Amino acid sequence: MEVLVLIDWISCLFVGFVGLISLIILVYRIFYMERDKFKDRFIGLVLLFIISIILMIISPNIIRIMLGWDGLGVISYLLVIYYQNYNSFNSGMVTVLINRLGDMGLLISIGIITLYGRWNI
Amino acid sequence: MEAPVYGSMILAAILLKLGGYGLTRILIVFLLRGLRYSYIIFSIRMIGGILARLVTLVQIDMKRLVAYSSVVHINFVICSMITFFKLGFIGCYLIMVAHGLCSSGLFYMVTLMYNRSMRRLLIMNKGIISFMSPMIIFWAYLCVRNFSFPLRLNFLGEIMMIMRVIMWDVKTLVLMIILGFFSRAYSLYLFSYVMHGGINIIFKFNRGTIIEYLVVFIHCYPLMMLILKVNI
Repeated sequence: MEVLVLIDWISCLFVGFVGLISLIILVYRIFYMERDKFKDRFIGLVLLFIISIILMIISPNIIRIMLGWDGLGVISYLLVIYYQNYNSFNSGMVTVLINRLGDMGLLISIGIITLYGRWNI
Repeated sequence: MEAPVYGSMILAAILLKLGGYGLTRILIVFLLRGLRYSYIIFSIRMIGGILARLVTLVQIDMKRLVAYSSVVHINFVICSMITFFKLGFIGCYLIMVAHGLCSSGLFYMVTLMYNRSMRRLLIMNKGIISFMSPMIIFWAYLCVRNFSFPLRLNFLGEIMMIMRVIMWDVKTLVLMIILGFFSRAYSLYLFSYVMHGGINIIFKFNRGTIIEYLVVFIHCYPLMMLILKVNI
């Protein structure tokens, strides 16, 4: 089994932007969550988020794009409901349902692209 | 609704799937008529699917929500089966096996919460994560199985059914998006409404005995493992 990786100037640009913005988040976290009790959980969630975004960007295969997109949806839901109150609960439901719309688009594009007999884009 | 849990589990897991098996057996009878009139059954099933999802979304009773979710998925199964093609047929079979395990496990877990709080309403069972925390990984797993999540059995079945239905008519594409969207909406509603919030009314603080974990794990294990060996 071989794992292919798609690297051209578009994917490199996007990976660079994701790295820059997540670096800014991780620096801002130091001041914002100074008195938080469990700091490791937030860092772990943000790192998983970055990993699933990069997995989505560099994949040439539509099934792996779907995998990265769904991991992104679940982890963004977990990040939105990190502090438990009703506002974050409602925002998390909105996040994950909007994510489902894109998910259905990917499912239908898998269905259409299989009629051509391949899964590579 | 007032049936004991074992009756509900046998109904969801065995009797409903026996109905699906009978549908696959009797399908050859409808072959000649179905090729001509399948679009009528198809459109009725599609509209029925959307209405059933909307009815599921407004339920306030947990057990009734789980029971309606098994009404919902049979709509899609009949849509794919009436197109008379092997791809849709295999998709129906996978969906029926996966949903039988999943809805039976969900009925059992709803009864576990009913044994703690003596109520089945969604608004009474809140904050289960506070005292039954090891059990919620199974609750999340079974709720996620209700819609199609990647690399699971429902996902494979749903992709095959979507492929077959799109081959049959491309104009059903918008309906597919609506169906998939609402099926995730009610599953997440069931998951997060129960887990989130503070505890309203709890009579017994019991984290769960070994036999309860065993029953739930036996429902989850085939769902994890069946995807590893799917030869079609």
